[in-house]
Amino acid sequence: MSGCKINIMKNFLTIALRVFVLIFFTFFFGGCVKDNCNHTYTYTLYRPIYKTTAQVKANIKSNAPKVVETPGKIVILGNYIFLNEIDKGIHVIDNSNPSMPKNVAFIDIPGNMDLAVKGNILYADLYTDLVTLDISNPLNVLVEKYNEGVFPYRAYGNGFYNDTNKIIVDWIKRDTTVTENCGGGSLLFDSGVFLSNAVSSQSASSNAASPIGKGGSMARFAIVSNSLYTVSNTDLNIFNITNPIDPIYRNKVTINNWNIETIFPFKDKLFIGSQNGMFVYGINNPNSPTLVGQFSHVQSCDPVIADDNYAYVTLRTGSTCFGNANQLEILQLNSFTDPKLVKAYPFTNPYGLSKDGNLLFICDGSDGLKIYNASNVTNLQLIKQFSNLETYDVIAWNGKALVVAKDGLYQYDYADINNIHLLSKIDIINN
Amino acid sequence: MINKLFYNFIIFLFISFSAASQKKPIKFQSINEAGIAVGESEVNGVLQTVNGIEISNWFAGVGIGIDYYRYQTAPLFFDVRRYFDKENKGFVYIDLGYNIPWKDKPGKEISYYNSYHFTGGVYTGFGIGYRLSVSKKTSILFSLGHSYKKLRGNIGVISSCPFIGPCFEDYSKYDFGYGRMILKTGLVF
Repeated sequence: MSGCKINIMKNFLTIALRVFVLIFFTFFFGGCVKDNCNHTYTYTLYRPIYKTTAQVKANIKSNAPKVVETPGKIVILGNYIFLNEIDKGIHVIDNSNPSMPKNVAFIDIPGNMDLAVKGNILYADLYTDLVTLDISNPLNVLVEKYNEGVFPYRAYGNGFYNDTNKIIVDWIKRDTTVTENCGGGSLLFDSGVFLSNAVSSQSASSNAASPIGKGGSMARFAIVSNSLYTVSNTDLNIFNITNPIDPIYRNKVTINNWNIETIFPFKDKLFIGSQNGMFVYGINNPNSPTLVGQFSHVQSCDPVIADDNYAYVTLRTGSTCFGNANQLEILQLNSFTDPKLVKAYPFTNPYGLSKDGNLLFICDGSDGLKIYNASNVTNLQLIKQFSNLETYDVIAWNGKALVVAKDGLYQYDYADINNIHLLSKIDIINN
Repeated sequence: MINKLFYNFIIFLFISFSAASQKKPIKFQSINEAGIAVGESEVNGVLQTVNGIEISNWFAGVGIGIDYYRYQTAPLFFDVRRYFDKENKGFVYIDLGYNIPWKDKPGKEISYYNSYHFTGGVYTGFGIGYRLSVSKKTSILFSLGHSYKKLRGNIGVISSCPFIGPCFEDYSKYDFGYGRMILKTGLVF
C-alpha cells in the first residue's frame, strides 16, 4: 500500500472518528440511540361470589341439569354416571341407554373436585369439608352428613380465607391488559393472580357388600370395603364408612413425598401415584395403611392402575409436572416391595388409563384414545385408535369405555374388539 | 406502515437501477464487514455480508448478518448505496429488512418463566462510508451509521395444570427496539 494511500486512510479515520462522535451524540441526545422495551401483559383477576353457608347447604340437592363446562372426576355406578364439574358440583347422567345418555340433574357443591360412591351413598368434597349424600333417588339426593375441616389443604388461597358463615360459589373472571415501559429490556415479573385448579376422580374394586362406583385413573378418592381413602398432596386420609351415612375420620398417614396425585385401590393394596414415583400401601389394617413398596421415576404426572401382576403408569410432561418423559411404564409386581420396570412405551402426552381384561385403554392427549391388547406386556398390540379428540381420562368397564375428552364425554362399545365403535357423546361447552 | 415503506423502497430500487443499467455495465460485488454496535446499554459485535450488483455509481444487494447486541439476531435486509465521486470512494447506504431472532429463548433461563417464543421485527440501517482500493478487485471499507432492530418475546409461565383440561398459561409480550450507532469495517471483492 503506498504512502499516499496510508495518509488518505489516516485522514479518513480521523474524519470518520469525528463524524462518528458527532453523529453519535446527535443521535444519542436525539433519542435514536436507545434501548426500548414495552411489556404487554394480561392478568386475570378473580372476584369471588359468596353465598351464606346456609344458602349453600340448602342448595345441595338435585337441581335442574346444567351443561358440562369443565369436567373433572367421574364415577359410574349402575345406570348412572356422576361427573364432577370442577369447583361447582356433580352432574347426574342417566346412562340406562348408553347410546343416549341423559343429563338429568346437577348437585350444587361449591369447591367440589372429588367424589366416590358406595351403594346409595356418594361422598364428595366441599372445599375443606366432606359431604355425604344419599343418592338412592338420584333425582332427589339428600345430605346425610358434613365432616367439616377434614381437607384443610382445600382452603381458598389467593388471598381469600375460609369463613364459617359464607362460601365461595363462583368467581367473576376479568382479564385486564396492561402495556408498560420496561426500560432497557429487562424481563419483568408478571403480576397475574391465578386461581389454581385441579381435578381428580375415583376408582375402586372391593368385596364390600354394597357396589362401589368405578372411577377413572385420576382419582383422589377411593373406597375399599368399609374405608374411604383420600389423598392430598402429602397425606393419605382414612375415613371409616362402616355406617355409610356416618363417615368417621380415622387417621392420616403422611406419605414421604410432596406431589401425590392419584390413588388406585386393588385388592388389599393402594397404589398411590406421585410426580416422583408410585407407592404401594398395604391395607390389611384398613385404618393404618403401611408402605410396602415404591418405584421412583423421573418427575412427571403419573396416574397409575394395577392388575394382579403389573402396574401401569403413564408419565406426561407439558405442565407443572415438569420432566421430559411421555411414556407408559409397566412395572412387575411379583413382589410389591420392589416393583421392577418391565418395559416403557413412548406416547405423545398420556393422561388417564384403564384396563379391562387384556384390553388397555390409554388417553394420549391430542392423539386421542388408544386401545391395546396387553396380553403380553412386553409387546403391546394397538387394536384401535380414535383420533381427532383430545382425551384426558377413561373408565373401561363392562364392555363400555367412558372417555372424558376436551369437547365431550364419549362412550365406546368394546364388547366386540373387532368392532369397537362410538355409542354416544355428551358435549362439553368450553368457555 | 412497514409494508408501505418496504414497497416504496423496492420501487425506488427498481427505478434507480432501470435508469442506471441503461448506460453502465453491471458488476457483482461482495461486501463483508465486521463492526461494533454502540447502544444505550452495551457495545457488542456485528457481522454482515452483502452481495449484490453495482451499476454506475449505485449498488444494490441482499445482506445477512449476525447482530450480537442484547439478543443475538440475524438481520436479513436489502442494501442500497450511492457512491459520490468518480472513483466511488465516499458513499451513503440504507438498509431495510427483517430481524430474525437467533434463538427461541433469550439465551439464559429466567426464573419464573418457563415458556419462551421470540419472533422478529423490522431492521433498518443507514450511514456513510468510505471505500479504499487496495488492489484492482479488492477494497477496504469503513462505514458508520445508525441501525435499529426490533424483536418480540412472548414469554410466559405455565402456572398450574389440572389433571384434566388445559393448563393455565400466562403470557407477556415484550417488544424490544434497539437503536444503535454502528461502526463497521470490511473487505469488498
